[in-house]
Amino acid sequence: MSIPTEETEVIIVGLGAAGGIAVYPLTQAGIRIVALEAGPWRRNEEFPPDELTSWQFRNTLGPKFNREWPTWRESAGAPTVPAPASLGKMMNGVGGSTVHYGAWSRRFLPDDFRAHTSTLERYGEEAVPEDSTLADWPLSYDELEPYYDKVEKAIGVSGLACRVDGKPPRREGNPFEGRRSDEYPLPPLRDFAGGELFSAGAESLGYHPYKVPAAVTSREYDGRSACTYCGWNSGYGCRFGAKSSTLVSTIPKALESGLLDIRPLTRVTRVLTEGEKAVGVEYVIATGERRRLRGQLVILAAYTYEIVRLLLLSGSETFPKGLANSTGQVGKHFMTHQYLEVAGLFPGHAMNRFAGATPQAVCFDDLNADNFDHTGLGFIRGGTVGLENSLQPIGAANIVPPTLPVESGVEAFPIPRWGRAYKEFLLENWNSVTFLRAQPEPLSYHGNELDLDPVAREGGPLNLPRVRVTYSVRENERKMSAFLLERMEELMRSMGAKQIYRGPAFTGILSSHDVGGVRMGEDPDSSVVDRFGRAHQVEGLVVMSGATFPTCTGSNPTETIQALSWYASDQIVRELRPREATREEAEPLVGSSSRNGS
Amino acid sequence: MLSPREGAVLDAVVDRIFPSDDLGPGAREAGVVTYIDRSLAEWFADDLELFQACLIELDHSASERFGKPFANLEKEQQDQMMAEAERGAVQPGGLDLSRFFDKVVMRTREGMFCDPSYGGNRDKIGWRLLGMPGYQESFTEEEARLDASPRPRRPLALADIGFAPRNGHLSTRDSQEDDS
Repeated sequence: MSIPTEETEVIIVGLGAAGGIAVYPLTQAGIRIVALEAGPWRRNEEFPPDELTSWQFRNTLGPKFNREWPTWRESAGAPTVPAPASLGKMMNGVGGSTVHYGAWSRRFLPDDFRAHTSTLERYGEEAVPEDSTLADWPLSYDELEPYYDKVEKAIGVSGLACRVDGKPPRREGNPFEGRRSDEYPLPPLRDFAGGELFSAGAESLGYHPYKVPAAVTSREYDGRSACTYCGWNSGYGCRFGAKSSTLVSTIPKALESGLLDIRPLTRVTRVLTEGEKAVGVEYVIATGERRRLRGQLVILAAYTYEIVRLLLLSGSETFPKGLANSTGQVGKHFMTHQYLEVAGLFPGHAMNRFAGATPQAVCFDDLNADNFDHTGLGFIRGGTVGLENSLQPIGAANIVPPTLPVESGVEAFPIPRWGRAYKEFLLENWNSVTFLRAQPEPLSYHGNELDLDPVAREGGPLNLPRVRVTYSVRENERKMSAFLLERMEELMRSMGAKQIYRGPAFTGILSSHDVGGVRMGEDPDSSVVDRFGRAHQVEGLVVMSGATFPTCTGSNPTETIQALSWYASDQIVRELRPREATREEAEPLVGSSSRNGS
Repeated sequence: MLSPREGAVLDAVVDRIFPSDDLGPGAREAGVVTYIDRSLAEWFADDLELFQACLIELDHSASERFGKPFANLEKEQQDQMMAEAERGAVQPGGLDLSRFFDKVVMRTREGMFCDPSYGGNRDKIGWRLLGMPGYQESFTEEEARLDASPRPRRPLALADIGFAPRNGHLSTRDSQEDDS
C-alpha cells in the first residue's frame, strides 16, 4: 500500500516560537511552505481565563505534551521516574507555547555568547569544572543583534532600552545589556506594587533593576489592541490578542503572502532521508492515516524534547544511531533552569498582584553571567533575579503558606497546609505575599543528556518511545544556588518583608527552559548543527529550537530562539533565493560551517 | 464516582482541610466534594482507586479505634486521624495515606477556588471569602499599587463572560485519545 505523498518547497515541523517566526522572512522572500503542527489552530476567543486549564494545573492546551511526558534518572544506573516539572509544561497548537507563556522577552548578554572564553580569560582553566562541556556559541551577540531587533518589531515587545547606538545610556534601563541598533517598538508596561518594592530594595543594595521587556502590547500595535491588564497571562492564551504570540503576529503576516499552508492536528513521526539528504517527512493526520511530504528543506522547529526524539527515530542505513547522530552528539549537553524562589510576607499590606499579569515584571542582571567577581566563590556564571505580577485564586491558596505544590517534597513550613490555622493564615495574608525568582545558569556536563527511554512509551496508536532525561545537579550549580538564595533573602529583607520563606534548590527537570541536545558549533565532532541550525551531516535539514543552544545562560530563552530562527531563515533565503536576499546578505558569510557539499 | 460511604468520608475530610467556621464558609458550602467527584470521573480518573482505597481505610480505622464511622467522629478525633494520614498510616500495617493526603489537600484548594462551572466554588463563595475578583477585563494602574483598594467588583466567572463548558462538562482526558 503506498502512502499518499505530496511535494512542496520547504517543510516546517512545529509552529511555535521558532517556526512561527521563520514563516515570516521565508514567505517574504517568496518561499513556499507547508507547516505541520501537531496541535490545533485556535482563535483568540477560544482561550478562557480558566485557572484549572492552565499549565499550572491540567495543561489542557497541551494534550500531546502531557501524553509524551519525558522520564528522568539522575545518572545512568539510577532508577527512572516520570520527570518532575517546575514551570515546565508546554502546549501544542499554532503559536506553540508563545500562546500561554509569561511573555518575558529578553535578549542574551554579549558575554553569554562567549562564556567559555570569558571564564578562561578572567579566572583561568581551573575555574571550569572538569566534568563540564562549557563552550562558546559559534556566533556573537553583535551578529544576532539585528535579528533581536527584527523580532521585537515583528511581534511587538514593550520595553525601555538602555544602550541604543548613538544615544546616551538610560539610567532606568539595563546597564548590562548589549548595544542595540534601535529602541523597543513599544513603551514598557505599567508600574505595580511588587515592582516598586523590588526596585527600591534592589537599588538600596547597589543592584540595577529594570522593567522586563514584555511580548505584550502596551499600546495598540499592528492592528492589535493594547493590554487591558486583566491579570490572566502566564498559562493562558490572550483573548484580546495583546500577548505577542506568533499566532497573532508573524504567522498572520506570513499568511498574507499566500505561500504558507498550515496543517494543524498533524503529527510528524519521522524525517525521510535518502543517503545524507533529508527529503521530507512522514506524518499522521487526525484520522490516523499516514502521509508523506517531500521538500527541498526540512526545518525541525518543535520543542527541545520532540526534536531530539524525531532525530533519534529517523535513523537509516546512513545514520544507524539516529539522524545527524553519527558522532553520538544528539541528546548531549542538555540543560534546564532550576528556578529558585524566595517568598516574603508583608503583613497588613496589599500587594494586589491579581491586578496585573506576569509580563509586568522587574529584574536585574547584576548577579547574572560574569557581571560580578566570582573570585573565591567556588562557581562560575550566575542568574537573573526578578519578580513578576499575577495571582489567580487557586494559586493564592497554594502560595500561602509560601510553598511549592505539595508533591515537591519541600520540608514543612511553620503554617500547616490544612485546617483552621491554614484558613486563618490564608484569609489574613493571601494578598500580602510576593515572590522573588532566580534563573541560575547551569553549565552543560558529560552525563546530562537526552535519549530514548528503552521501556517507557507514550501510549495510544503511535506509542512512540518517551524521551529520557539523565540529569544531576552538579557542584557548580549547588554553590551558585546557595549564593543566589542568600542574596535573594537579603533582597527580600531590604524590600521590607517581615517573614521570609526559602524554596528548594532542586525544583524539577521540565522547566519550559529546557535547552541543548542538538548543540550548535563549528566542529562537527562536538556539535550537531552550525550557527544557522544546519545539520553538519545532513543536507537539507535545519533545526530551529532552544535544543541548539550551546549554553543555557541565566536568562529566558524565547526571544533568542526567535532571533536565531530569523537569522537561520535569512541564510535559507540566501541559499534558495539568492536574488531575493539583499545586497548585503547576498555574499555568503565567511567561515560558515563545514557542511558536506557546500 | 464515589459510593455514598466514600462520599461521606470525603465530605468530612475536606471539611477538616478547609473548615466552615466563624471565619467564613468552607469546603462544604463551596461544594468541594462535587468538584472532587467530577475530577475523579474525568481528568483525575487515574486517582479514583487510590481515593476509594484510602477513604475506606480511614473509615475502617475510625470504626476500629473509636467505634464510629469517620464522618461521625468528633472534630478533634478526625483532626488526629488526618494528621496521622498526612504522615503515613492510620492503623498498624495499614495503607500509607500520605500520597492521598497530598492530593486531597490540592483537590480541596482547587474545589474551593476554581471556576464554579466545575462544581466547586459554588456561587463564587471561595472567591468572595478571599475578596478575589475572579475574571475581570481590566484593572487600572492605581489598583495595582501597594495597599491600593481596587474598586469593588462583582466577581466574574466563565459563565458571566460567555464561556459555557463544552458538552455540559469539561473535556474528559488531558492527553490525546488518538494521535491527532
